[in-house]
Amino acid sequence: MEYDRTILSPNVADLSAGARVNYVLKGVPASPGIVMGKAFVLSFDEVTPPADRTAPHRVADEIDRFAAAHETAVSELQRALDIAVAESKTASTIIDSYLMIVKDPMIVESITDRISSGANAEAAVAHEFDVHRSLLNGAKDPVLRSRVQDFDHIKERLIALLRNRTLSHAAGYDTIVIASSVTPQDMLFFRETQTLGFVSEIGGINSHTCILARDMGFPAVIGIRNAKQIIQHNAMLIVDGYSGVVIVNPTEQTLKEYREKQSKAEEHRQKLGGLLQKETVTTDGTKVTLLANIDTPEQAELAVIAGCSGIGLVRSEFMLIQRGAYPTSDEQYLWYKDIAERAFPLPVTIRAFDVGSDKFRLGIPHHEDNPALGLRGIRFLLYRPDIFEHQICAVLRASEHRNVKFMIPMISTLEELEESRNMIEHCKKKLRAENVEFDENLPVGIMIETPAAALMADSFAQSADFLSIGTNDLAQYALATDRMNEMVADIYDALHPAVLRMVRMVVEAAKKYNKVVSVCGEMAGHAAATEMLIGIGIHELSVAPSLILELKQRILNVSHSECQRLVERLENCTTTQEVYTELRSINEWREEGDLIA
Amino acid sequence: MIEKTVRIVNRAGMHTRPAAMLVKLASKFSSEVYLERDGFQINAKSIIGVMTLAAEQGSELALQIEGDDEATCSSAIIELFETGFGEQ
Repeated sequence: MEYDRTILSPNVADLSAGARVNYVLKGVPASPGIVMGKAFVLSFDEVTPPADRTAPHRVADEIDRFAAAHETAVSELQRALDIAVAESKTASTIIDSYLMIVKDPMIVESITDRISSGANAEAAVAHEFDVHRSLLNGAKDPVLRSRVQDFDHIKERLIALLRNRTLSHAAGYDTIVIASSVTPQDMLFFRETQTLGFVSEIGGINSHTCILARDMGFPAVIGIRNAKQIIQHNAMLIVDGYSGVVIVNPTEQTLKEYREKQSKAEEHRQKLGGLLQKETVTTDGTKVTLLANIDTPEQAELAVIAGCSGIGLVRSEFMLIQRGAYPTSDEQYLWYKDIAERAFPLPVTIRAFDVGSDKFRLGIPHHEDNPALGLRGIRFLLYRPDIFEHQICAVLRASEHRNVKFMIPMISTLEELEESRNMIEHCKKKLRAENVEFDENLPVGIMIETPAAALMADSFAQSADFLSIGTNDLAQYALATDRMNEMVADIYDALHPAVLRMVRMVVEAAKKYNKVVSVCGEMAGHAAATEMLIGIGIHELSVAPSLILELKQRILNVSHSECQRLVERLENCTTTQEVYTELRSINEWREEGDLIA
Repeated sequence: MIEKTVRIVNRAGMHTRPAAMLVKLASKFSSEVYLERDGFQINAKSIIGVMTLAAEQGSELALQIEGDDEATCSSAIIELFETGFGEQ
């Protein structure tokens, strides 16, 4: 998985003159964070495998030479493993796998055999690894395929050692490393020399190096082609690991902006203290997953900073407002890919266009007297298969790294789900024929927002991969109340017992078929509803990025068993008023205002 | 000799961590352990071999075990596959 989408702003001549020009390079955001500092360009000799042969009388020497290089490679990794163990479990697992590859007895034997039959040590190592590389490179799965980098790293290290090169990664303190490729082993040494971050020309966001960078909180941008040529040694750099942007020779103004951005993120982290790092669990150990609802790629960044566990809802129709037209499949692909990459490795749920003549009326053929009950959500998408198909293809293409899910809004019949699945299969077939990569197992879920879907949750839970309850619409339809109509606004309440019963039905059904169910409506972020939802058995809540930490704080203070007792009491409630009274009883310490929030 | 078909159930497939787990487990036994996919056979005690199977979710592999401890070895390995290497 190599990227190539470097965007160049002014011309290279400006850059070599050392002018402050804000030369912007766009790569792939591989590990979040912002760093500023001088570039340290790592240059190695390119390893070209020699075709030299070994004369028969020199075979024994050649085998010894390989054995010595091999021994050094093992001890280097052993040392890296010692550092890695102190660093984290992720780090030690990755280095350990490198060690296993180097020590693989079949490989050692096969390389020795190659030398015995006349190859020199370098050629034997290169050819041996190249065979395995090409096998793995044929993998259908892009994530598995990306592991060829591990083989490359080890091969290159062995060949460098055969040529008596020691690790020359002594990057200076407070610099940003620019390299063609970075290995996990390099990462650990960068840490020791207090390097700030790195920019690489190749690599995938799934690579072990990037996993380690994220784990170590080491900002990184990858996939900037020719970075080593474009970026001069000691040039001033800004690396924005949130957006994947690298700015070379930034102006004072830009530096100032990024310093502010950096200190804001830092302030945020300090203010929240340990909260960001903490796992979201109730006092009695029930794990709750907090996800973010977003509209744009920029918001994905906010969600990541706030420490969410994924994006629970991407409202794709936001693109329609921005553009005032249906974007092409390619435009959508770039948009979704951007979100998926910024959030990676966290999962991202993209909801299909949720249009309707009361909100985004684009493409709706005629005026509707009753838009809430009209051509909307999946009904519209099936009416316009051309639009739906473009979107499905774009989402599939963005699923390349396997962190994307697709969600269908406004489902009220099983046929709608079945037809959607057929469309998705059709699009997969098309992409396969074009040799485009995507996740064959893209999870397809549905929004539960009509009473029909809630009442039939048992059937939907069997055929959908996951369920997400949209409480606003569900309440509106269950109570037959237009929530924008002030004449009936007092009837509309998402905490009405009828709505709660439906939510419970959905949770029961999901549990029965072992499917995940989340809540992404306003109720998820409603201060009074948290205990109730947890008690009902909802362990995934998706809210605005700004609410995540507040919600986390609250969950850390509630007990699951207490929530369950609350729900038992709520079962007997027959009016919204009674529900509120019960909720208030466990929320006495909270301000009255919270309940109305 | 024991022959069995095993299936990759975890979503990420047989990436490096599961491959390492499998190799470590297989190496505990004296039996010879082979895995075959589409006519391509590898030694399950070689991590590079296991990785190059490139077994994604849903793929099926033929497991072949021969040796004194083949019974305990095969049940341990089958369990590892069935539990998705401890992943979802």
